[in-house]
Amino acid sequence: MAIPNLISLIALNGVIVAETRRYLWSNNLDEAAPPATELAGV
Amino acid sequence: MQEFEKFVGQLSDFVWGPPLLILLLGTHIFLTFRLRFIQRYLGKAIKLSVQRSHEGQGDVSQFGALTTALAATIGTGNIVGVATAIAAGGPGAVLWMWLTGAFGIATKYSEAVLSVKYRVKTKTGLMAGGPMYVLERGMKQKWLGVIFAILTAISAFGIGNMVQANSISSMVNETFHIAPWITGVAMAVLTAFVILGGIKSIAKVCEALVPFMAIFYVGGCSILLIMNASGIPATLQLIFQDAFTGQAMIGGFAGATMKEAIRYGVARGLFSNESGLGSAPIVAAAAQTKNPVRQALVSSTGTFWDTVVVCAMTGLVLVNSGEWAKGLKGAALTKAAFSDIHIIGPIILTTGLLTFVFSTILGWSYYGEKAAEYLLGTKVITPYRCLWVVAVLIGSVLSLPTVWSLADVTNA
Repeated sequence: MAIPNLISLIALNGVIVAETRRYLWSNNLDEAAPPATELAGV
Repeated sequence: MQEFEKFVGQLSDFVWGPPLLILLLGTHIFLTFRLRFIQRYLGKAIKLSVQRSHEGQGDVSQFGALTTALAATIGTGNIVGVATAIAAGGPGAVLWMWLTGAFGIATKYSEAVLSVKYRVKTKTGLMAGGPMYVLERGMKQKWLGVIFAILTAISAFGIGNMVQANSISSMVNETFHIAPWITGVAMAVLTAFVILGGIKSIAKVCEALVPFMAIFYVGGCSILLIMNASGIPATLQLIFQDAFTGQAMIGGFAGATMKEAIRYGVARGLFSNESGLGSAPIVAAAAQTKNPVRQALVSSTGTFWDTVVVCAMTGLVLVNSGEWAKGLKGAALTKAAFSDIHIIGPIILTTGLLTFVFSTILGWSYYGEKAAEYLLGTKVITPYRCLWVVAVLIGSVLSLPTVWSLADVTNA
């Protein structure tokens, strides 16, 4: 479990920082994110 | 069978050896710096976690998601695991464990950001997320997502179910002389009652159980510390001093170098709070939240409560008791330290262990279920829940050394 998860954390660290910048560092914690994708097949 | 057990044991030692520990701790430190010490928002995160906001998409409240994750995370490791670390690494291990938890907050935060960002709404109308969806949708590596889900589904039955059920039945048998099968039936009925209602039912129970068990245990530890208050300054001095110098041989304690204090303290901190394991973000994805960062802040407090508070309290009680110096290890050390205060000590220990372990079974049922759902679709949910209840019963009456090792391998 840990190894695939750590790979994603390291590979997507830019996304984590971008989301943090958008909502936390820019004081937009109340801003709504786009709705989750609906998957009919799942 | 013996050869298989030996192989699984060796594989467990290998995968949880220094490379993975360095990778985990390295990720904690890397993300801490990358996120400019996200730990400084802990106060804001705790405030957010207790707000009952029902705005945004999701199946359960932010608090419900946090307590369900905490239910799964806080387990025997917070009590017996800490004793093992002190017995092997000396009192200094407590400080390294605490520091590891502090850095792990950044990883727990990061996992939840990704999990909520890449979550999906299934045809049942419920949310589904976690590293398997992050790997598939964020990294475009579905095969890695499938591997993660397979390992989680297997691991859940080991570390989250049979091992825990076995701990409870053994403990009840030892303390109250009740046959394991009776405990198993009772536990299976209770588990079925909660998990057949799905995440909403699990979160509802965890919202009540987790704060109770945490306050009861931390409060109990505080009473034990107050009753031995004169020793606290010396205990703190010992923990800080030994963390950087190691502990010489004393009484029955064989001694530990600074390297051992770091090794066992860091390992305990890493195993206990599950930061980096990928489990907690599965339930973070079910939270009602306006955006990923809000829930990630709430989720990050899980590591704080688990390691920085609960493990640290256990560590203080164990070191303050002085029993570690007699050379006792693991469960024996815990039992001796808590028995120093008659009646109250054993009650705190037994109640703490029972509630910690049972809540772990509830939390992990959701992790396993979502992994199975990812692999086989929503049709698998009800059979999975039934299988989970049966496994509780089986786990209660079996001896499980191999399950422990197998669970460790799949966790890695």
